[in-house]
Amino acid sequence: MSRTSVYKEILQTSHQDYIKHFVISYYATMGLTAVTADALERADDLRTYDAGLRANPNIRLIVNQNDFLLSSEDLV
Amino acid sequence: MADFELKGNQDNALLETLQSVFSTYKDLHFPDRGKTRSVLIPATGRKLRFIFWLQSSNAPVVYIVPGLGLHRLAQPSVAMAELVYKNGFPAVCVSSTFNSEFMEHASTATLPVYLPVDGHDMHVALTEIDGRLNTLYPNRLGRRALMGYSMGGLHFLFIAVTPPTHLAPLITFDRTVAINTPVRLLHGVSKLDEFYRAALDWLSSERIDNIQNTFMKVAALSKGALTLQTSLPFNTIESTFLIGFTFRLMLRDIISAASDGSIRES
Repeated sequence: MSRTSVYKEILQTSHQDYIKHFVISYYATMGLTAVTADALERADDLRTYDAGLRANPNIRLIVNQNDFLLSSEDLV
Repeated sequence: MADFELKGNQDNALLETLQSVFSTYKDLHFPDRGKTRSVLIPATGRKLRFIFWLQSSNAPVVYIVPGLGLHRLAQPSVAMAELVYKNGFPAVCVSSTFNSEFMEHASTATLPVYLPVDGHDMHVALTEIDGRLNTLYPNRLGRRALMGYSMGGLHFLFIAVTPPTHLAPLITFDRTVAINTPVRLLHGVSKLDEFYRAALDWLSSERIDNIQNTFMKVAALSKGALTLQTSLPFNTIESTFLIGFTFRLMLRDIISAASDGSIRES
């Protein structure tokens, strides 16, 4: 199979597909069954680390209010 | 030849994101003044490259990681380093954990995205780099700071809240600056997937022509002297699609790198 055709096939994969079908399966095959979709979602959510982040006075955040990757609840 | 006539509304937030692609260093010789070294990553047995710019005397050092999938020499990365350096601090750039350079040499997971693993891998790499720099240049590095953009910021915030452990003597940092970092990664990537599908908003009869014209505009602009002050000629659908497409290409590169035989078997 040529690289072009491989690339075309890969391009059909969305970011959500990558996480749900590739990453979760990968960790399962590595024996890390604790890395489920829910666990990954929690681990990749900064709100999970809220207490530690708020308690650290050496952290500075620069955020654009119109950042399309953030929802209104993220900006609270 | 691209048709530059604007049809439809523009979205400022999207245009600002597209313009950030063109943000670059001001001094054309700045990248050449950086020194490149590498460190051995114990868990992979491979050497990870990094680039740095030191000050002539001791000063707080700033470690920089760019956004999703970007290389340490990508223009936004070097631009941040230049900003840091010109303000009197040594700057050190490392590739994103989603870039093939980091994936192939410093990742303990074949597929990046799980923050506890990726963040730890980055922390280990920075520890090795800091140790190497202090060996090469004793007393030149002062307190340590992290500065991450987007995904780089997410990793650095994770490192900032990681409690010290005796199992792996990882270095600590005195300041963490996260710029435009996502809060919920899965929400962020779902938006990027949605953006990639923006081309479906065009009529099917016009879609191919519109996509081609969008790419032709990008190509034409890339050849010209586009600056941050230049207003980009993209409407909302075009801007949305271009952002989604750019990140889809990055995902393609991530999957491709992970599939590559050069990736270390875990």
